[in-house]
Amino acid sequence: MKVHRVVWGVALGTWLVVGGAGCGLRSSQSPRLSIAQVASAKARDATLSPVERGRFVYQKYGCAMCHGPDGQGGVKNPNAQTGGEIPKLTHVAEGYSVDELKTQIRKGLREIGKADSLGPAPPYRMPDMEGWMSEEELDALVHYLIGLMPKGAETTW
Amino acid sequence: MGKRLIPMIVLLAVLGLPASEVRAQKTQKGEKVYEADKGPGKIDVSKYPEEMQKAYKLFAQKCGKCHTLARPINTDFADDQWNRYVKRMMNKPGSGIEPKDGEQIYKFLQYDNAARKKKPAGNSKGSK
Repeated sequence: MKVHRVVWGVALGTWLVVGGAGCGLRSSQSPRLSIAQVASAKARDATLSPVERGRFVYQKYGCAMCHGPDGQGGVKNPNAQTGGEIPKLTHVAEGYSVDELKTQIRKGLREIGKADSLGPAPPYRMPDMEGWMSEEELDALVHYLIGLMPKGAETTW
Repeated sequence: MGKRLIPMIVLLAVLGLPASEVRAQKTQKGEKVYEADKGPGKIDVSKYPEEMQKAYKLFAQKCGKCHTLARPINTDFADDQWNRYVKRMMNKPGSGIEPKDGEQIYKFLQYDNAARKKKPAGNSKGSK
């Protein structure tokens, strides 16, 4: 009987220690910012131009992973209807209004059209940013994306 | 037991049939069907000017490559929305729409807006 109690005691102790460490790990993965850290981030943001803030948001949310650095594209998405690659973003200024672009970023793109309808689904899709990205970040990102249009490359009709 | 098992198998097969048919339809199409896809898939352009008839052919060839032609035909966009939309499609990799093609397609959609959809020429309200 005593042995049983000892075993249960050890098991409970281990669970508490491991569980506690697990909780600690989780909380360290998403640390709460102190007031000083928030203030310093805001001060840094204030020194950035809207385009720089947008570029920061573009990097922060990993947009470059799929759309390439500065929206240059080139990342493969096998069997995607868009030529088997993820579209570049350098010309969004002429294809979207500000509101349309914001909607697209908020909603993402759950289904990517297939080049071969009988082939496999393209592996990459665009995640929705609704609830993740703040309005300020969204404004800055759109500002940045619209500014990616190369000078003189606009279609004139 | 055996007497009960056979009706059970038959019932499961009957219930499973429509479900498998739905799955097959989805798999075969493999793409989302929009409301506009269900409308008419062509336009009678016989009374359109010759230039617009040519542009319609280009529109059917280029746009019909990736989606139903019914989709743009039954979509209610103002001229400025079509302008952006055609450019958006044009800039997609692999679209095969050159800027001069895009211009023709846009002009056709603009003309069709006024001729068939009886839409006054102009831009949408509230677009930034």
